[in-house]
Amino acid sequence: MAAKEKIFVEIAAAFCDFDEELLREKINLALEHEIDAPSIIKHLSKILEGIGDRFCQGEIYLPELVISGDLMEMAVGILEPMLLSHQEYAPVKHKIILGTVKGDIHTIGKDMVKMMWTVSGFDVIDLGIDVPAELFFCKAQEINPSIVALSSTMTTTIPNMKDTIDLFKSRGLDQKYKILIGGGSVNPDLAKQLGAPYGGRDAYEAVKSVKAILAGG
Amino acid sequence: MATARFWEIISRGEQGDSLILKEFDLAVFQMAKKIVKKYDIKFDPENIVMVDDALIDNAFKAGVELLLELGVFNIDTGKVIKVTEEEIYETLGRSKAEIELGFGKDLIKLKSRAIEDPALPAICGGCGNPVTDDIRYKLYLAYAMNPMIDYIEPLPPYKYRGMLVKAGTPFELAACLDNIELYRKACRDAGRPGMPIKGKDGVSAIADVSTNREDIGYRKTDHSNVYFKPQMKATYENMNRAAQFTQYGTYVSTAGCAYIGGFCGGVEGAVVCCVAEAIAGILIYNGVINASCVMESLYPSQTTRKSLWGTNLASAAIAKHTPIPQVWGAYMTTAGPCTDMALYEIATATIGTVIMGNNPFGVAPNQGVTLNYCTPMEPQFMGEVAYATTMIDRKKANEIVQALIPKYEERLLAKNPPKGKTFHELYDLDTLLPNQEYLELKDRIWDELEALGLKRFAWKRP
Repeated sequence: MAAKEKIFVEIAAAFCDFDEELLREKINLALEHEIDAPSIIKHLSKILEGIGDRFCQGEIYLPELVISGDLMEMAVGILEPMLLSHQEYAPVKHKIILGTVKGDIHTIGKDMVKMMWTVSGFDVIDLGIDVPAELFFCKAQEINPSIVALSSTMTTTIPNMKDTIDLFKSRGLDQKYKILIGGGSVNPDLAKQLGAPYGGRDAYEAVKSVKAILAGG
Repeated sequence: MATARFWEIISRGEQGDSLILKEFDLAVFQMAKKIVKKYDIKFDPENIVMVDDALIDNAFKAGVELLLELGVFNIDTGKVIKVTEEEIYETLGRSKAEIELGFGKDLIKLKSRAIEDPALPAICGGCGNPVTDDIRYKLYLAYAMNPMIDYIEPLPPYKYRGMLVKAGTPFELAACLDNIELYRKACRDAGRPGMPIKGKDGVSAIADVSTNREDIGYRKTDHSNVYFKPQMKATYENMNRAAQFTQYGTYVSTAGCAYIGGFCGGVEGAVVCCVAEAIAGILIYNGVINASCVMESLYPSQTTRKSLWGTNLASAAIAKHTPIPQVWGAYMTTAGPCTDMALYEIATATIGTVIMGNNPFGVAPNQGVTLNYCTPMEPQFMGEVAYATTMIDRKKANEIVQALIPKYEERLLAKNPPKGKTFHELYDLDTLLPNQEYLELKDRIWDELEALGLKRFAWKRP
């Protein structure tokens, strides 16, 4: 096995064991062997994609997605200085603002979607739960995301979801920032009524929905 | 008022160890994983209804250990509420095994049920689906009229004065009060004025507490849920609920879903968290009734093999080692009313939970989200299955459940359950009785159940 391939196998093993120290060591080893930073990032992204798939298959769990997100952040921190010198590597990381709308304090679905988007390569800014319309709006103005994602689990917080969409619409910004809605109380009919794309029935579909929106689908 | 122990314990959330949320979440995962290994708790698809008493004992010990090791995280202060082993066993020792709900001739006794208990359970009917105003009262009356249903779980308010009900607003308060008042009217009109109601239907704590009114709202003889946040986390909003409910004098039921694939890890970790939260609820929320389960998180359901196994094991652990009455059954199906799949789901969930010591409640068809897709027939069937389950043992229950799961599993895993029909389509809106189509379907499923060895319950004859 060539040195590069061997190191990539070791990186994958360290990542899948969620061993931060070993992963750091192997990334540094890859750099010592003059493997370029964009190749390492590409390899890590594939590993993350695989981890997302394993989560959807029920082989790994939410905390492991959280740890994977942290590992990727650590890896990017090591590689960032080298990436900047590669002009051909201009990472375009779409930003997504995510939150549970005002009045709703459910977390688990939002957390799963957040981590699936994170391991799929999106930069997710989680505003948490019980988020007022104005906070979604102000954060969108500040961060300029590609997507603003609203979650609601109870029928009684659907009106708050509508308030948030209305605020963006009132400023003509509902198309600049694509607004995506999801959660236990949301279905395709409701999404149609509210005039916002439906995020899907689960975290797996949420990844497909975001990719379709960004592809213009 | 709330006991001295309640104030003492929740005050630890002001003084305990400070953590950030993520640290606590990951600590739950690591600790659950370690404890699952220590107690050798392993998912066994061949025994969805388990007969292994050592496994049940270990699930209880594991839950206690998780609670002792981690405590409960107060999200509002970022501090951990720790409890001691002595406090756990003292509180369990003082807990009541029987609670009287409702009054007069409609009074029911909600009892702690043993594993394989031959006593008939109390049946709580209702659902979580929203309904439109044209059928709201009729549906409530249909639930109240159904003799199989001992007490009612309310549907959430949907619209008020033509608007969708918005959480945390005066509209929500008014809608929730309006909703419970309508339930009371339905119970009176059905000739069951003392029928108890299981709360709550509001989202915000202010709506929950403002509906506690002896005249038209929730009475002291009802019981109301207070929840944990997944996993092992509490908020002051929920402690406010617990404090007010207790001081009002009503019964607190503690509820939580331990999510498979969430912060407790796999189904084994979910069982451990479920047991730990059930015990924590008695201490932190003054709970006197347990209403918790293990649930799938990616595609919310409680009728996959893993979620059935997890809920059954956690229920068995609580039933065997505590005196707390338990309320859980076919809370949610993925399929809709008047479909074979929904009835199979109800049967599998009910058989397991009832034989493991629960008083069943349900049913929210279509994951509880579709408008008007709920009828009293689902809880009636749940009740019939629950009564029949008191006549079998765990081994037989497991055989029946194993035979039922393949009848719907493929559709569940494909996330393609049939939607079914609405209350309008399935019930005569004048007589409030089910149509022939639904009765025939239920009979057909019963024929299948009887062929599998679950005999319909029949009242004693002279």
